Amino acid sequence: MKSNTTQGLFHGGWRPVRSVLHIDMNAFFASVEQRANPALRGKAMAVIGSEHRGVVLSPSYEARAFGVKTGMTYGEARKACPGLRLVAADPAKYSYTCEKLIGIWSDFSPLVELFSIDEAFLDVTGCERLFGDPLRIAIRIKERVWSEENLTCSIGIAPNKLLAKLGSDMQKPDGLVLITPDDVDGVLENLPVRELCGIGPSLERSLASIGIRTCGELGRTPLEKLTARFGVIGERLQNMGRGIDDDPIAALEAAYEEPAKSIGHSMTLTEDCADIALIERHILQLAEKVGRRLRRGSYNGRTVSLTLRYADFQTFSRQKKLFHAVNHGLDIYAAAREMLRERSLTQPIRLVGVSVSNLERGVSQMPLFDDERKRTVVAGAMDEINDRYGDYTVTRGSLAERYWHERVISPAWRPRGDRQY
Amino acid sequence: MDTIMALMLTERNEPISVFAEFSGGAVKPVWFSLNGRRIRVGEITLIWKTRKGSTPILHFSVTDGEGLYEIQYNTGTFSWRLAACA
Repeated sequence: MKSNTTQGLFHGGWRPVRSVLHIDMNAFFASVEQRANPALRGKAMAVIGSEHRGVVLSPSYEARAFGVKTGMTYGEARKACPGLRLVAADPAKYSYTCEKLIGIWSDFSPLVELFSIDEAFLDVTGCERLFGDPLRIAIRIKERVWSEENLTCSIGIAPNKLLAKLGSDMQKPDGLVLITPDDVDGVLENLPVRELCGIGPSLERSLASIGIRTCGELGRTPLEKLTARFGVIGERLQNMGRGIDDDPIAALEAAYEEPAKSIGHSMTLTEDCADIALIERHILQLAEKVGRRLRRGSYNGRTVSLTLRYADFQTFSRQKKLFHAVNHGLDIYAAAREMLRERSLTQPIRLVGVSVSNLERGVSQMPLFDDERKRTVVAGAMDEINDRYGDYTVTRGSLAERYWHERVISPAWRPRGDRQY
Repeated sequence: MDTIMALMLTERNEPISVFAEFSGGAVKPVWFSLNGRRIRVGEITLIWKTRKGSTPILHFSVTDGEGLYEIQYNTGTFSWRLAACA
């Protein structure tokens, strides 16, 4: 792509368009581990979900050269690269490093959208007078990320998020790609549709079934044909094929304020489990954790969901709508346990999840009866102690032998607010 | 899981004495004592932070050029621990 200046981001010479950066941290988890442990630097290594089970989360670029990919099982990864070194994920390292990166990015624009823990969009429109043109801003960001965090990133610069993301994917690692409005047609004409963020294998197959394989073909397909096949997303698809995307940056500060729609936790068990009593204890642990987060955010919820995944990855969820909104672990547990008992399990369980949705914030029913009042007071006292001294300082006797839950980073993770945990 | 185990730091979780610099709002370990030996911090390879309840815990991954150590500073109790080493 051209290394143009801001001039190139003015469409037709008069219509100002946005200047959006997409920053993709290269092999983020693996790079952080390589930074932490000098013995891993320059080596084929991969960060894996846990010591016990899971998949490859982040292979280093040295491992990628051998064909190791995200999502591979250990066996597949080792087959591709026999000398592969594996390191169990340490989410605290990645989330803290991400917070520091957000600090760098926020120095260049107030509009930072965290797309995931290792990707962000920045709208730098109007920041030119302070920091130079978007290309200069991208170079300065790359320099600071390297000098302060010893990490590399790929940056795409374009008039919108769709094209900026495409740009950062075009050159890895340590890439810098500028797509100006004048470049768009040429870039998209022969580009396979799967290269666009949002078009996965299933949609790619559906598009191929009506003869659309490239973005150029997608953009030229009549809207009627696309809506007839894909419904309401037809117009969005045609716009994607043309490189049009008006999606604004969902700034982090706004995301912190945004009320949660649901709050939940899940755990992948170390071993598949068919023992109902043990599964119920895991559910109690999750319910207590969900209840604590609900209370911390002043939420109550009316719908409790239970998710179970069998050993063969078949997953099912059940929901129960409650008469009253709840935020107490025992109420959540009772509803989830009832759903578990309604179903006879046909296989051992691999994953358990509990969540509460249909949330209300800042509204709660005053406890009317003595038992209820005591329970609320006890929960409040436990929260205070655990907030001060750490999780599980005070807990139920039945959770004394709780499952050691390996923390994973949810895609919805944010450094602050309801989605912090 | 042999490859994983071989690369993992071994958990230690023991109190240690650390000589550290506190300046400009930052803390930097310089050396620490381990089994009567003084380990000089040659490189702080990574710093990260967690919380134990309301208390921030600072984690330092450090090397003396030979071994790799994770040491922790509890900002509530002003105490240091060796969390792990390899």
